[in-house]
This record gives sequence, structure tokens and C-alpha cells, in this order.
Amino acid sequence: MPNKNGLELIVPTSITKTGTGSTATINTNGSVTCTSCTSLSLNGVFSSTYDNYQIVFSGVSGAASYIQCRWRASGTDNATASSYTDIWWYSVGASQGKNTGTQDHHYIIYNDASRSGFVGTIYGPNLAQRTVSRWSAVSMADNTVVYDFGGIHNQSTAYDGITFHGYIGIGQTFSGLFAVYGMRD
Amino acid sequence: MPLNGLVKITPTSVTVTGTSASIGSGGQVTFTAMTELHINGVFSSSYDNYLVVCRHANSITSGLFGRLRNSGTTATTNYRTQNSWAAATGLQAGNTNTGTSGTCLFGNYNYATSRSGFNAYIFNPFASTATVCRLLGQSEASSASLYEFSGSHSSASSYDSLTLITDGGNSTGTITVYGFNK
Repeated sequence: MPNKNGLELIVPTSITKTGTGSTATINTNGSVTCTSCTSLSLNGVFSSTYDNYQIVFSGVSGAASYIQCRWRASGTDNATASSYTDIWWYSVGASQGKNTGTQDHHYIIYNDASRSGFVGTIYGPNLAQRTVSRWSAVSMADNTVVYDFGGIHNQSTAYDGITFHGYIGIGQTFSGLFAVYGMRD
Repeated sequence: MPLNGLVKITPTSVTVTGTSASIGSGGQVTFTAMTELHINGVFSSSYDNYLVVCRHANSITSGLFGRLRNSGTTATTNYRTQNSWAAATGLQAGNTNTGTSGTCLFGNYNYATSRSGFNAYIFNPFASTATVCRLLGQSEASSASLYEFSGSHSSASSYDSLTLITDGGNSTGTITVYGFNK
């Protein structure tokens, strides 16, 4: 039996965005390039073809801020209050620590106008069960920082998309390249 | 047909200070007792982001570090690093290098002859922007240790290659570079 790809690049069925003067484009192979977005939705990236996924981002934010995310089904974000629980661990300067929070979104990276990147692993977003995610991030904010976010979303809903937000309520902008990969079962 | 997401990259060449280094048929580089290893021609415009997977054992208690390189010249300055480690003996954050004083993009440590491995995610090394890296490492140091390492290189320069270097003794192992299709 021939070997198969272990990690496959997924082409979103569509994307939507917000942000004055923003742009977003699905590239030929499926990654998405955006500029000055306050939100970016990748629709149709999760399906029954894969259980687990990786998302890779490289880019910047307009200013020091967090990029957050919400899971999305049939074009609508799930913004249920207190349904997203995060724990994150950080190392900044001579200090390190952990923090926790429960809100209507996940935190996934703290960055600024200098370079940053993250690799997220999402477990079972298209299954009608709670969704678990883990985001390992680097940014040049505060010199250079280590961040690791782990999240659990308590809704037993099958999601087909994700929306990235530039700090909900503030509307910080972000720009960069997003790519979603399915991990072959 | 879905496109392969993670593509193994074959270096155009390797050069080594130490006993030996060679490129396998699949692109993996095997090195023996090296103190400096240049892995040439692995970054290009084909990919924005990369995964580097390495397993190694150093001959003495020391670190194995990564630097960016282009056209035969390795960048030795303008790095910033932040790391943290956890071991049975403790938990510690270290702001090892700030400003332009850093000398590496990533690092992983181990005790003499113990086994170590790491995944290093490198973002935009070939673009003429700053480069950032996130490393997840582990070793047998203190029986078992975890390393979390973030690094950045502030020069808006393009790099096509990677250099590994030790800060003591030599290192033996393998390293493979993968590109994330985009």
C-alpha cells in the first residue's frame, strides 16, 4: 500500500474579513494572505476527512496586542459566553508564569508590529464534541517572548471554520499568511 | 488531490567542521562529532515557514545552537532569544540575549552523551524581513528536561541556509528540514 501524505494543505471554501482597507486572498494552493484585517474567517477548512489539524501563521499585528479566535459553523462564529477556557504559559525576560481565563474566545498569540509566528494543533473541531487546541507562539514583542496557549471549548458542536480576531472589542489589525493543514488519520 | 502539507527539503550541500556530515537520499543530514555544520540551500521562496527536526547527543554538557546563513556567510549577531526550561531540579526563565547581543536563533541543551531532540519552527527566513523561531526541545539533562525557546533575528535580510554550532565539545545526530506548503 503506498504511503500517503501525513499533512495536507487545505483550501478554504471561502474567506470573509473585516477591517478598513483590509485585503485577504486565497492563494493558489490554499494558504491565505491578509493585510490589515481586524478579523479573518476561514470557511470550510474542517471536515470529516481529518480529525486533527495544524494551523501555521507568520506575520504581524498593527500594535502590541493578542490575536484571538473563535470556532465557526456554517458561517457563524460561536461566541457563547464563558465557553472558551484557556491556560497559557509564558516566559518574558527573567520571569515566567501561567495564567488562566474563561471567555467567549481563545487567545492564541501576543505579538506586535514586528515579526511573529505560531503553530496551532486543533483536535477534533469537526466532531460534535468539545474542541481542544494548543498554540505555540513566538513574537518579537517585549524583546522576544515564549508563549504557549492551551484551550478547551465546551460546546459539543461540529465546526467547519475558524475566525481569527485582532483583540475582540479593540479591533487591532493583523497581517500575514495563514495555512490550515489536515493530519491524515 | 490535496497538496502535501509538509515537504522534506534536500540541502544543496553541507559543510562541516568535525568528523563528518552527509546528506541522505531523502534529504536528512547525518553529522558526527561536529562543532559547526552548514546546511546550505534549504530556504527558498517555495515556502514561507519551516520545521526543523533534530536529534543529537553532545560529547560534553553543552548546547547546540542554530544560526541563519546566506550565500556562504553565517549571521552571528542581531539575534534576540528568550528561553525557559523545566527539569526535576527546577523551573527557570532566562532572558539570555536582548537587543542585538544575541548570537543564535535557537538552542537546545544536553548533558554529556545524553540524548536530545527538538522541533524548531522557523518563520520567514527567506523573506527580507526579520525572522522568528519557536523551538520545543527536550533532553536527558537532569534525567529529563524540557526547553521552550523563542528566537528572533532583527535584520531584514534573506537567508537560504542554516548553521548548527556547539558551544563546547561536539555533537552527533541527524537533522531534517521541512517546508510548509503554502
